Amino acid sequence: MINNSQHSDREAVDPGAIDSVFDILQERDRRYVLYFLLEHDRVTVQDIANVVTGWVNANSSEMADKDDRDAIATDLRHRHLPVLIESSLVDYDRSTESVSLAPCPEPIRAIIERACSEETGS
Amino acid sequence: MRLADFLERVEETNRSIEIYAPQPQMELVDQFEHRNITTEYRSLPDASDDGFLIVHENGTFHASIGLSAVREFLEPPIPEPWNDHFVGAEYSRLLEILENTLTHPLSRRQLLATARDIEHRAWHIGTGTLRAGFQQFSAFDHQLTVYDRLGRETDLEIHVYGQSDWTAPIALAPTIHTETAEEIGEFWFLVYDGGDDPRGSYALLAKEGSYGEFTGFWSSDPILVADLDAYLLETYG
Repeated sequence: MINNSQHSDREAVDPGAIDSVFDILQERDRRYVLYFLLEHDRVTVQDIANVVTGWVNANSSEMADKDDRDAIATDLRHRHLPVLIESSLVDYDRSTESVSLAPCPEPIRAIIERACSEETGS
Repeated sequence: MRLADFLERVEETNRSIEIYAPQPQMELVDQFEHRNITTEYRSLPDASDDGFLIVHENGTFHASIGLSAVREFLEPPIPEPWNDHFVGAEYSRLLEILENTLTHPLSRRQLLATARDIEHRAWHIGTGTLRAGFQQFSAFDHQLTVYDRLGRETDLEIHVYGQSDWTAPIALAPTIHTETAEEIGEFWFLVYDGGDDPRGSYALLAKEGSYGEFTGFWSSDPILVADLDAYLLETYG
């Protein structure tokens, strides 16, 4: 079986894919969805809303409450997840209401990892 | 009206905590398990600096807070009430997350840590009434010097309630109430009316079960605290 990412590695990445990933990364909540999916194969939409809420507020000394969480959940459902799915960066599984990172060329993944490191690292 | 009625005002809640971090946080897990809260660890990418935790109540999101704000929790949270360590402590914020929920079982250490938070608050504000019930006065022995100093060095009015025929040392600053009521032997409580600070009120109430474990809650709800204070005043003086 051909390893998909290695195979893609040898080819030039479609410029359209680069445009698309930078477009996606413009929005903070979408970035954090991708960061978490770098680490976890499949995450329910409920869970991803919790994670984004906790993570984007992690450096604040205030706690985030259920209202904060619900606002982020609504935004994810109606705005960000459809864009992520449309871009083919994220797969959605209807039966489990969960999302996962779609197989993507290594350079695209590297861009997401770099953004994660810069934004959430020290 | 009985002390047990106040437990019924607070609903039993099933709480759990998810810890998100690049590395497992064993010290944090220990701290929460000490408080009888189940924890689950979920990894963040290695590049991440730090993490956060999410508190779930009955299976739904209740609150989240950054781990940097939780670090304070790692310090043994039982300093003396006059210790400035507590001022602005993130630890209090965690107590906030966990307040107004009936928790079972609670350990003595857990109750003592929470009691110290209330004593610190009372020490800092320095006015108002503090009512403490330690079940048996033998349990109060360890607390005696703390409460005597609280009484001498502040304008606090302090009442201590307990069962048994303990003879209080002469010239003790707190007012000692020796009671025969069964509930005084069963409940550990600390009720502070907040004195001059309208947001200072805080109470802890826990009932001891047959195996030495406690069921109880703590709360900064001013109405609940005022009702508890009024009940104790009317019933025991």
